[in-house]
Amino acid sequence: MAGTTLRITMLGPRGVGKTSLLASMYNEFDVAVKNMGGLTLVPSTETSRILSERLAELKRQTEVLSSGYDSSGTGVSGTAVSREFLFELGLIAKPLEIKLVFTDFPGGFVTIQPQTVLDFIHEADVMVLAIDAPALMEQKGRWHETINAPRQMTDLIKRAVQAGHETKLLLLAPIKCETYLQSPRQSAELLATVKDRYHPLLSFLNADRLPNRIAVAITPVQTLGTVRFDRIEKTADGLKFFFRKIPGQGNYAPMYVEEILRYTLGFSIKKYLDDLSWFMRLFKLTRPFEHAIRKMAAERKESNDGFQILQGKDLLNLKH
Amino acid sequence: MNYYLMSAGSLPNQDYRWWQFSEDEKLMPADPPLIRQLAGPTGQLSDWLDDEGVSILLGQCKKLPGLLITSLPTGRCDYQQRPIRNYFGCQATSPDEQLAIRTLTASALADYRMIGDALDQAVTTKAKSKAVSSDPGFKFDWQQWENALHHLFSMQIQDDHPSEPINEAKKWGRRLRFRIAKDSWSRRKELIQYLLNDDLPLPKHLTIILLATRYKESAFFWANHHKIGAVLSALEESAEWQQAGLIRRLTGFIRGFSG
Repeated sequence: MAGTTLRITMLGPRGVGKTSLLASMYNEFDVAVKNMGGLTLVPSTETSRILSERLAELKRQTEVLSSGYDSSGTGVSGTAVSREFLFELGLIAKPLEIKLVFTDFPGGFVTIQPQTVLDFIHEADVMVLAIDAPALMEQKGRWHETINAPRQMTDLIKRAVQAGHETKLLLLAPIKCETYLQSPRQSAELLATVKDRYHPLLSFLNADRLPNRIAVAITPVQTLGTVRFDRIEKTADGLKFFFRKIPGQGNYAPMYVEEILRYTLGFSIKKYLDDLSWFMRLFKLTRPFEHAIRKMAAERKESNDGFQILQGKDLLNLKH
Repeated sequence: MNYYLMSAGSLPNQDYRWWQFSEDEKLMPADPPLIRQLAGPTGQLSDWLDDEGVSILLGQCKKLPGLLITSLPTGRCDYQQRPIRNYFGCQATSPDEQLAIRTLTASALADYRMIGDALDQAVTTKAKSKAVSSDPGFKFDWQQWENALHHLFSMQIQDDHPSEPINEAKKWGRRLRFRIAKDSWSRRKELIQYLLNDDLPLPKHLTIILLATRYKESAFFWANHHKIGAVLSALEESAEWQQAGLIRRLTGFIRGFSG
């Protein structure tokens, strides 16, 4: 049984894709750790079953899009109840060394149960703020306020950070970025838009001594990989976002989702090692495991494809 | 009887939350009392059951039974074209209502779609709801619901799975107590039979009288066995009912020894 626990909380309003991101990350972990000294991520049976279903829904959604049919009702079901997804991380055929707990909750909790959300953030080592990229980028960001609720998210993170003393990592993760990462120019535009639209949050986090304990990075992801944004329609029920499949490409090919794990693990291991004396360190993590994590974290994207570390680089850098 | 519904509307700000619905068709934000009663390690319903699929929980609050059914399918979608699900709750307000709750639970164990469809038909998006606070994004048609309930109570529960007969040797006696097994039709039929025999009591000391769920590991139930009656879980491997007592003590001993 793993000894150390790392907590990651998924933040974001309803429908931006928090659970889809989690399912994709789980699916892509093996790709991320290929040739990384035998790292393995083992989910609990419940986590495995639930995320496997979510993955199947994601894949089905891509297939329906490729068939040209209306994809209504094929998306990953929304989260109605908060839950923890449990994983253990270690080396293949060795005792597992770290427990990872991802907290996922309905976006509406921010309004209905704000204290619960604050508690999740207080406990978390890493916060992943999921941002709906089409809402941010299309029609000059007309739907950004409605869908991404940036002010609400900013206020929430401010309150949590203000009250705490812990070192944390905040990842701003634009989701469904397939349309906006096709060229360096587009990537730069996405990056600039995130920085602009989250300026109040970023300037708060960059003030005073906060950069010493809060690392911030932008980590865009392509949740499905082979789709492009198509259009937004206003219907009798409200708003609907449509995507289309790129002909001739595979059905489900997410990109960059593993980067979130690289950042998370790199930061968490650094924090863990900084908090321990060298003597304790000898007995906690095995050298081969620590080496494998360092190697995985070192390969993260930092300055291309829309990625950028905005502050707290020292909190993310593992010395060799 | 108090009725509760957790659902969502199609718009981003109409996320899932519990509403109490009543004859005047007003939707009032309120959690079913069972939810508070159940508060587990994280205080969430997911501590006890897998809400991603249909789970059926018959519990007890202030010695009165209550029922929760999760993730009932609907015909509605949200703005991201994701299917919206309904969660149903009801709570007896007097001992006279025990029979109705037993019947609803038995009906859900036999085929959850009957309650699911009834609820889905009663939830409409045609007009703005009479919610007392924010707009939930749907309206509740009480008349439709009441008609569906009458129909449901008047129906005989059918055995749609005759190929899985009840194991007479494993049948319940006069008391529901902690037993856990893989979810199967024969196990469900044993519970239906128990519920429909109103001579057989619902134990007063249990928080959860029965639970049928999908992906929930048994360790949590073993740890809370004193609060729980019958548990059916898709993750349980044994085909037979396991009972608390010697097996639990042995399991605990072996776990303690190896861990």
